[in-house]
Amino acid sequence: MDVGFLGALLGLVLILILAGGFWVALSLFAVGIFAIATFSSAPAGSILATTSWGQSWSWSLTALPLFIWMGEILFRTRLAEDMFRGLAPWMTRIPGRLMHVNVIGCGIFAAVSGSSAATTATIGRITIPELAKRGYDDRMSLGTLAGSATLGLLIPPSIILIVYGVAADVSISRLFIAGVIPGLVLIALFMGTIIVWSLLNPSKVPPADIQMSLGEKLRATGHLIPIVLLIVGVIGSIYVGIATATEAAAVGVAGALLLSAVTGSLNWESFKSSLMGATSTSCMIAFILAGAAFLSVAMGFTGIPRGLAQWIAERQLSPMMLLMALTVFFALLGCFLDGISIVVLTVAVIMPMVEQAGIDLIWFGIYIVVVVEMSQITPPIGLNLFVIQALTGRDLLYLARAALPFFVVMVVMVALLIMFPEMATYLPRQMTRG
Amino acid sequence: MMDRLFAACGGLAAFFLAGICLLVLAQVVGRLLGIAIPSADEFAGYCLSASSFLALGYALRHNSHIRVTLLIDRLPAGKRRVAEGLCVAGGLALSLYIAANTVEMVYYSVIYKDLTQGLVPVPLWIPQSGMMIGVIVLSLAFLVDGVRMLRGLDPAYIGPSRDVSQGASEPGGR
Repeated sequence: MDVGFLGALLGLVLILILAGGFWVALSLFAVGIFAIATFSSAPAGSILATTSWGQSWSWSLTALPLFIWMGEILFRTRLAEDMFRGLAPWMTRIPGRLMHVNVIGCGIFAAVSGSSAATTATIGRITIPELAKRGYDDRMSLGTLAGSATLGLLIPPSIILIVYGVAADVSISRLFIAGVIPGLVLIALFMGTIIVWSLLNPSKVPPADIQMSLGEKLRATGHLIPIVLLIVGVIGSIYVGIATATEAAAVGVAGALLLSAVTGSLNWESFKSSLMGATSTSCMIAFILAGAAFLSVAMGFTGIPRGLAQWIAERQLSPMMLLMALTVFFALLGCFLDGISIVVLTVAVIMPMVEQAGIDLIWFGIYIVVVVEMSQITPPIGLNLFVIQALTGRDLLYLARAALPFFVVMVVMVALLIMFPEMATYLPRQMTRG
Repeated sequence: MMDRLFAACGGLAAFFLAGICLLVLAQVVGRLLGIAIPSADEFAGYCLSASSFLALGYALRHNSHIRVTLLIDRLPAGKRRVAEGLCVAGGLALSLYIAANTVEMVYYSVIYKDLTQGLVPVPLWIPQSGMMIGVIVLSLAFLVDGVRMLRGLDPAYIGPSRDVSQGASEPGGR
């Protein structure tokens, strides 16, 4: 049978069962079984068992539950309160004032948590009421939160980069370090957007209300020293090569537990709920990865990825054209699939095509994460919007409109990343280990 | 009774997750002191495998497994029930298939007396049994939901929807 036809058929089956509400991980298994059964006489069941088993104990994947756990612990501390108190005094002079707390706060929390939902919830819990109380424009403050919380995916440690690294067999340490500069550029772009907006709309930004001497400011910021040390310890040790991502994660968990013990938010109840939360989330992701590993092998039997790669080679499609096509494709996928599923499906099906086009796999990881970030704040499935909806009770479309300027910023970011690939590739190249 | 089984497996999974952390920390401390812990990487991996699979049933119960409910949320109650019934039936069939094949894999590990490949070889079926128990428990969880649906109830994973603002336990990239 024709590979193109069967590829389309498999894609259709996948879309159908996904749309029917079947669990993503199980859908990947089901399509994999279907693919093997139609294309070969290989024993699908025993391939399934052995690939799932092989994937499930891979060493690089052990970083995943640990980073999730670290985020869960810190989510239950007073970190967000401290962050607001410590950052707000410094932001009052910048046009846009306290709205910048959203951006910087999310940036910092993103550096200890790998999830944008956790980042939105943690920072939003504090900044939404504080900004509303002071009379900041509602739409813009919610938009800044939705936009900057997506930093959780890009700034290391990032859960989705671990997923990509494991699925595509790329060094997680290098991926993490590759995310640093694009993350900082994105922070700068977000802050720039706020500054421009508030210069255009001076009436919507209330006057500064915090008057503090330099000493008081420094004291307020002093509360942030432990968290900064934790960030420097985790990311720094990966960068200089004294720790693998997993080791840095384990030390990060210990540091986070210590920090929450010192600040008095650690008790049996919070310990247990952080651990159980991390267990469920990492189980869910590991199961999807097992399904994806099996689907990748199954795809190998069908020859579809090879066919796609060949098709690209024959068309002599430039990497630029390919990336534009992929960006549109991912944006569409992002309308109904979550980021992790997009990443694992991509790796299972189009990786040979990307390699064929001569695209750097570390760069591609950063690129796909930025594209997935965009889908976090677009309806109908934008998790950041859901979280803010839960926090404020606002209408989803209103929130999507509020986040629109930041969606545009991310489109600009994708363009910048394509024009200046060194943003993602420079730092990892300097690493001697990992 | 069944609820307790899923909770116990969840607890065991959490124990293995904490185990990864302890093993890796021990390795880091050991390295500082110049002591190498043999096969620590490998055992951390086995803990991860056990943790991931043992939590499957628990995670299903707590609706932690991602699915796209965008369309079926829009269905009227009757059709929604049919869709959920198909999902549960499919989940049961597929998890039984996975469980049967995992049992077979473990069975061959036992009769061929396969060992793990690290410095400290142990019989391969020991780490593999975490996966086996986990997928069997997942089948049981689907079976319980199937029985609930036959009795006219909703499957257990459709509880009151979790308030995202109260917990960070949402998947990273969603």
